Amino acid sequence: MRKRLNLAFLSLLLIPSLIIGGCQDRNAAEKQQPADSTGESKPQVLKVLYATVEAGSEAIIDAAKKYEQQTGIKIEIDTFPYNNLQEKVFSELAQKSDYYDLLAVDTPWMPKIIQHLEPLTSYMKNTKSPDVLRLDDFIAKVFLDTSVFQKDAPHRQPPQMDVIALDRITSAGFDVWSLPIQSNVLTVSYRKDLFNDPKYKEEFRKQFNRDLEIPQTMDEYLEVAKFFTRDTNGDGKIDLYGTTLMAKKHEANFVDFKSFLSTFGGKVFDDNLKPVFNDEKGVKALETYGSWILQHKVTPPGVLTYTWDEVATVFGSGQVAMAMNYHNMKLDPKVQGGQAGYFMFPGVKEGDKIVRGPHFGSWGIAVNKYSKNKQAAYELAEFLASPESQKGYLQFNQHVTRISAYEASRSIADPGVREYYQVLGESLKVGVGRPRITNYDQVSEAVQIAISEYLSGKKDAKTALDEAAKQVETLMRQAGYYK
Amino acid sequence: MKTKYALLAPALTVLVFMTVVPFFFSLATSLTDYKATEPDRWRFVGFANFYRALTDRDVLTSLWNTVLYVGSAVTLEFFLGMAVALLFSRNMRGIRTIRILLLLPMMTTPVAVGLMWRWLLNTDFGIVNYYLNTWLGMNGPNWLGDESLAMPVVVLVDVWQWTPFMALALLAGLQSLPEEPFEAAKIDGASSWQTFRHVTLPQLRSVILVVWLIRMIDAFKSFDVVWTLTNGGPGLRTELFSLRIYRVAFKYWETGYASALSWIFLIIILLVASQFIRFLYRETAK
Amino acid sequence: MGKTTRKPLRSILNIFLDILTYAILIVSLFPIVWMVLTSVKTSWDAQALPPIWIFVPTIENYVSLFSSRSTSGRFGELLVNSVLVASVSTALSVLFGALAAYALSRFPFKRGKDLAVWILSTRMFPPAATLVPVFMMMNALDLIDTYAALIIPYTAFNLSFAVWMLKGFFEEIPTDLEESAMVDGCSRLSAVFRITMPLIAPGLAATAIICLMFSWNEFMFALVLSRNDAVTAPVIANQFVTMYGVQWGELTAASTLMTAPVLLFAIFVRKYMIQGLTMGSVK
Repeated sequence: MRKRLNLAFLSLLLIPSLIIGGCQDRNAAEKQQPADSTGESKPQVLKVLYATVEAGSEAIIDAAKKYEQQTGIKIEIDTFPYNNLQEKVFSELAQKSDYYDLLAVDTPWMPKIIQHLEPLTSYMKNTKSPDVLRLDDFIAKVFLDTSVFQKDAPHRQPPQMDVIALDRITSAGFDVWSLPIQSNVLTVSYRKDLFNDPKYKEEFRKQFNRDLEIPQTMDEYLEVAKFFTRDTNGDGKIDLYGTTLMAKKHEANFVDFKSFLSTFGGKVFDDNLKPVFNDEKGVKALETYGSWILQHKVTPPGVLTYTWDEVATVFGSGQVAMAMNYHNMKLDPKVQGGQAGYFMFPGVKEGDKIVRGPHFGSWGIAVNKYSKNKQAAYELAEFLASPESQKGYLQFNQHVTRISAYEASRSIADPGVREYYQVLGESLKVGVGRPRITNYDQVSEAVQIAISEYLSGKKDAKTALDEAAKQVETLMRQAGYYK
Repeated sequence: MKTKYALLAPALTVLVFMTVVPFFFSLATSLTDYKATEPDRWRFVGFANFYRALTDRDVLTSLWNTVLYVGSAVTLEFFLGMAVALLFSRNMRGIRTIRILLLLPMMTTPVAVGLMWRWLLNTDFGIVNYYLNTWLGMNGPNWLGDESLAMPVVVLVDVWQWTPFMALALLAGLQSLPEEPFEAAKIDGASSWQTFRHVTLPQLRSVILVVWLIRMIDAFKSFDVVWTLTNGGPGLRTELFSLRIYRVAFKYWETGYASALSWIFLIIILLVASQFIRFLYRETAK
Repeated sequence: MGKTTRKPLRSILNIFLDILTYAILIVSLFPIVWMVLTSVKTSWDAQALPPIWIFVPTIENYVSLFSSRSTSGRFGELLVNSVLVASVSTALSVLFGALAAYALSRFPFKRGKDLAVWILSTRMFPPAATLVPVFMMMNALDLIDTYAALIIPYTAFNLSFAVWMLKGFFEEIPTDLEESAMVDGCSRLSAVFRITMPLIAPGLAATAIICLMFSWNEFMFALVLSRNDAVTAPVIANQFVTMYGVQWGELTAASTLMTAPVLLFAIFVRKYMIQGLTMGSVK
């Protein structure tokens, strides 16, 4: 068509545009000063790119004000909506922009942007305030999952340790790339009042021959969920359901599935990064997940479109007895006698222990490699993640990442919030993170589609997972993880 | 002689300025495996991205979904829009206020539109199902989660939002028509339908074509509302091509592939649009 | 005779059409009304089932909108940014668009049709693909976070619509009108302004409203091309969609406030919508 002819005619202009692209990089390089942590002068302003509530922005803004008073450096925090923060962060980094000094980084982004971040290991070794840094005070699993990566092979799992020790990290070839600041893990919010109701307790005892208490295993959870799925006002329609699930074709259903998978002892990838989520454990996980929705019908019928906010609404309005989410859900005051409590995601009994695997993911603050104030930025990050600051975050309901902060949470006045922090702290110790691959989004999507198609009845579990596994293998090959 | 170029100059300057870099950037990157997050590591891959698109199940599904979506939405919007424009061109009391109110659906922030409808249509606590339940005793279906309902629902939301666009433009067109042909028709004793068909429609031809074209192009690019409503689900049922390109560009960061897909997108729309335009010029030449 | 017997039928028809008009209005506006109502409910009331229609309104959501410590607390400022960016880009697109449309409809161009199609094609590229190169461009020109970074792309985007829409309207007006005016001694410019423009007033008004609307609600470019100074309202509205749930109160309050300016503009411009009919044609 005519367009193509014009194309050929104007293709000479290709050259100027590549030059523009090249010029821009050169300018950025000229503006940049060589990385010299001691040679930097104290900046007047530090700029932070942050998310909103899911990373606890109110708490951070509050802490930043304190830092301003202490040091005289002005802190500017730009907050952007979570759903689109990825585009914002990546666009800035792709242009090697030095505008932001600190960035909020969600764990799945790390493998893709690690080359644009400044490794913090040396800053930590030479820290001027070791009692502000206190690496040993971080919840080890959270720290390792969020911040410890090998630059050239981000998928490698860091060495296991119960207490963070910097030299163990470096001797294994890893670096620290951020400081964890807010951690989200799948927990259960439940209707304490229903569980404590003598009428229900009596009925449960008769039916199941044991007491109605917080379920520890998946089977117990299902029993309790079945028990509570009922018609409470005698109009012939079920108005109370046992539990919720987030089954929309969305990141939410993938991490839901992953939680079930981990609980049954399965994994997404094996050590060679080959997909194994379609093995018998994976099929069992998916079929269990599906059975709650389709067979036992212990969830509201619309869960196929649910993600985080629908679950919160449904629990809040009193329509379910238990609900799984990443924060402590509250009840509408209009729900008669309603009282919310919290407990850990159920597990599976192995011997005399319970093995759990709730999904977790955290936000870390990282230093922009192209920033001109890296030392100052690091110090700010250290401050924002410090034990003192984190204790101060408790009042904002921040999901803190330090052991000392959880200890401090035991003196919170509100029993509901106190209970939640206890559950949160325990859950973070057993959380399972995402695969640390550069094409995480694509892999997640392939599985999301499979789950969605299984739940809508298009395919059976084994077929859906097998097809997804095949696609994931292709994706991994394309990304260069193996031939 | 020079006037005509001077008149075009401001518009063309802005357009060329804004399109030159994206045009060549996307053309160049479509032939590479450039990733915006790794700007220093890329290779020339020729037409590999285009071949990949032809065999990519997700891409092909999204293309088909988009054809369905655009076809049904724009057609419905046109007929409804025409009807509404005629209806609202009457001299009814308060019609001028009513016309303004009609614009509200398309003036509302897309994210709010998407979320509100997602809420209203929620199976368990949405108002729509609530009233279906209490007034009609029906079990409200899973509007957005049911395989066979998701696409029609998404199309209807688009119709709700954009019919006012058609109506507004067509109304403006109706208002600009000169009076004599209508007077002549009346004198000749033509019926309303005849007047409409032989006097109104032919004169509106240019406007009709423009709104069809623009609406079609915009519908192809539909993104915000569908993303919020269904995220392309259930499965891939409502995955539109624009969603797919967005995912590839901003979730997978495969900039090269996204550029190739954008070119395919552009060529398809251009083909359809030029057919339309050819039709117009043929008709006006008569 | 024919007229008097048709009168009752006419009024029944009119009543029916009136009702139809109202019905359409109700369907169109129901979600909007619900949105505005939600903005003055507490967040629990907003999600209540059965839906609460009678309640005590509260302005807490609006207060929160202007006082929150994160960027959303600057909502007033953001609205001003939106007004500025949207109105300047609309003015430019309508002005430049009208000039170009006039040229295309009145003068012969060697490849006029191709030019018109090219102009239209600028609208066809998916924004996802243009975002990165535009960011690169604006970054290279050091325009990130300025009003210009948004005004220029919005103008460009709206030009395709403005040119084609106004071209259609210009083509409807026969050239003899201008020519007879010029024969009478008017310059082309004054002929256009005094005769043609008023006739296409509805077209201009409609084009302006639609261009304003597109610029006003645009989100992706605003998100990526602004940081602090040039942030517009839609970016913030998205902020209320969080992982912990949608903050319905603030979201609907923000959306309601955002709808107001565009609505006001439409009201202001509405008298021009029917001007064409009253002017009639010039003999």
